[in-house]
Amino acid sequence: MDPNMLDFEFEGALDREFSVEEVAQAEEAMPELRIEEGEVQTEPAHEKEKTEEAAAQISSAAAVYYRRVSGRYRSCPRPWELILRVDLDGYRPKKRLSGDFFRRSGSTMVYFGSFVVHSPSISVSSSLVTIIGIATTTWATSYKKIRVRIPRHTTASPPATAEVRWMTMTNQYGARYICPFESPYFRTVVLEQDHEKGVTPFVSYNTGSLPSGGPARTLSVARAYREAGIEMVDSGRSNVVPTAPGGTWSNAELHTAMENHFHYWKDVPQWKVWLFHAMKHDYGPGLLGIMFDQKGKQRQGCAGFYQRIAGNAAANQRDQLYVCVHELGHCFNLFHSFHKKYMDPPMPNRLGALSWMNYPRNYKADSQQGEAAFWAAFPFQFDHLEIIHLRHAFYNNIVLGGNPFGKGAALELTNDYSDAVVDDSGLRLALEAPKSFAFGEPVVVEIQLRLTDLRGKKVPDQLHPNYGFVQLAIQKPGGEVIPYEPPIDHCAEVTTVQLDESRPAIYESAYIGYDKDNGQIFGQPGMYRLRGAFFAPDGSIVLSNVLNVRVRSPLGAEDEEVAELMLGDDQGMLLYLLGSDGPTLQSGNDAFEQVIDQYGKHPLAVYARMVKGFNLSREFKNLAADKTMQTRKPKSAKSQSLLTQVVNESEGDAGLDNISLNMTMRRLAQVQIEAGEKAKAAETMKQMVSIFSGKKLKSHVLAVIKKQAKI
Amino acid sequence: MLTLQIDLQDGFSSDIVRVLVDGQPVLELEDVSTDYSVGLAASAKTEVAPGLHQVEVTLPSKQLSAIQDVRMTDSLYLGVSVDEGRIGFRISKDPFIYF
Repeated sequence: MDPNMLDFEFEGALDREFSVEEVAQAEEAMPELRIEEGEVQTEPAHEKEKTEEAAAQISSAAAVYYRRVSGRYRSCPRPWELILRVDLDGYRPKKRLSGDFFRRSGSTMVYFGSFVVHSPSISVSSSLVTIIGIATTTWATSYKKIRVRIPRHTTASPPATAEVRWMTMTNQYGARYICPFESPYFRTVVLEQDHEKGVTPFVSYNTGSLPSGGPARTLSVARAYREAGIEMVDSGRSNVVPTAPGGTWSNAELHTAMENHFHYWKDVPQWKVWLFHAMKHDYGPGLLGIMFDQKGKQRQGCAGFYQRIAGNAAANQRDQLYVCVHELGHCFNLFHSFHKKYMDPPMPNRLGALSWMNYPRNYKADSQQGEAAFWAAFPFQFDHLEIIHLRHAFYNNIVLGGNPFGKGAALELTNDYSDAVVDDSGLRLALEAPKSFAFGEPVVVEIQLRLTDLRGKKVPDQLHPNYGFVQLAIQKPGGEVIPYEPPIDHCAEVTTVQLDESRPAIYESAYIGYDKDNGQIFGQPGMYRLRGAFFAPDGSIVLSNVLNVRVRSPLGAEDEEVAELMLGDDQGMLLYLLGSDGPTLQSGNDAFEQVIDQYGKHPLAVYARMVKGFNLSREFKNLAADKTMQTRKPKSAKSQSLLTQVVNESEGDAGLDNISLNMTMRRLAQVQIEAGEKAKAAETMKQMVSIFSGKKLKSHVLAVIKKQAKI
Repeated sequence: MLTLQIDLQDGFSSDIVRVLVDGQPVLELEDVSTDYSVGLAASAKTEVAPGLHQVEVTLPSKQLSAIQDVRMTDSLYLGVSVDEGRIGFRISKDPFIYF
């Protein structure tokens, strides 16, 4: 089933017979909707009159106040119902579209799937907003291109209706949905608040009562969520719950209380949530709140405990607000800022996040840390990625009673590739690579993180995607976007480096041709688009330029044969590992051997030699089937010969990229030192400085290379 | 006697956990997993005399073990976490806060 396919516009035919006129009318609508990539269409006929009228009003008005287009739109179920979320203007816009499909069947409505568009292109005229993008969907479909058109209405007119058209990548039309405006909020949730007898539940707090990092305003729990784009509707019911036997609550007792007192409780996914204001948990006064609902359909209830935070003092009221918003955040499947790496899928922790989901005492930014620093800077809001989750997460990843806690708790990076509306990170991420690669050539990109804020910045120095601070997404020639997943996860102590005027940038080179889930990524000629994101410790996401990389078609039979030998899965893994004797990778080693033997003069042979040269420079331990350890000693002479050849082939414009060449020359020198040939090593390092001096590198890069050359 | 509270915090995932204080078992649990809604997996209290004591935490299923010395002059709180294949400790004079 695919709600984006044209056929499903007429699935109502199962319920009743459509006339040929009805079908013809729909078909006729198609030519007028046909667009070329990037072309802005005129508004639909049925909206034209309204927009012309509005335009007339606009021209006569001194100042024009347009309605925001952001918000939630909903189509009529026939049988597919589309809930569309448009997030393009208003408070903290995230430049995204997302939506959920539900399918009516008889008198039931069943969730089908969700989609999100992260980098839509937007055209705005005085009468129409047109949004076009490629959707990431939870179901397989060829209709991934979406176009949304929303007539621009002034504030004097009612909100406009959105027209959604799905298309294939080649602009073949799919389904069309007409979605009237429903709400300025992206989601609406019913909140029931009950309290334990003797507990005075939190109502509101003026954020100007104590120093903070945001504007002073009076926040209730509902208003805090409204600011994030989530409407919290009071259930209109409130129960006073007797104290638990023994005076303290266990998680099981809390769950039972929820079942008994939460008027809307059902063990199903629904936009309803229970917040219980209680006094004490079994754990003791150290527990201020908990999202206790982690059985059955999870995340439908949470509790705050007032034993430690009761009272009207400003600090207590602030704590009560913080705990309540925070626990409800868990119900929406948000993890702590310092636990993001434990989510499924994981994300880097954000210790410096000024978010409802951090612990004030765990706060750790550049030069500030601890509780006082947190409160002084906290603007009483969720961080950027949490807002994206709240507004655009796939239905089951956020709905109360959906996926278990932590599953789908954050959109993966590929889902986060639109430009930041505001970027005060002080950093710039750049991807560089040759404009084109030969078919079968390992694709290596240079990742550069550069300081733009002259005050300096401390950043993790592990830019390789292996470590998770930089993530890459790759759009293949067919339009499919995949996140680059390194074959092996690296867990390493975070080391940082200070970027300042003396060292304004750091660089890393990464082979990205082989991926854990997709194997060989660049396995067909064509244009690939790459984009990276750097997750800064303060929670900022620094997006890179979009790098276009073309994989050239083979020019002849020899090119094809060599490409064939380079593109196996084992070869990809060997390139990633820089060689291995592992028996399971034998076919890859055989292929590289064949490249060296039969096609030694082919430009790609340099990579086979590099892999083999690196591998032979190291000892290799192999645990045999009989559990005995077999050790292959380094083969220095052979390794030196291969690496020297690689260096010679890369001195000019051909061969390896600069960073890989630098790495190879340092390895060669190391092998020479280990073989007791210090003079040769010194000569290699001298040659390295000479080669890179001729490559027009930036002075600070050359300075690093000269430093490396001192052995 | 003074109270030593030991909180098993982040990084536990279906683990067997043994905690010994001065060689005496104070906690032995199976299937210990961190509840990330609060960042706590399990907790235990033990009474000890003032002075220096040795706390040993072992996760046999992960072949991890670590020892922490604690000097008791008043009640003390010891947080234990597993991160990147290592057991880590945090000592606090105040109770840890969770929410």
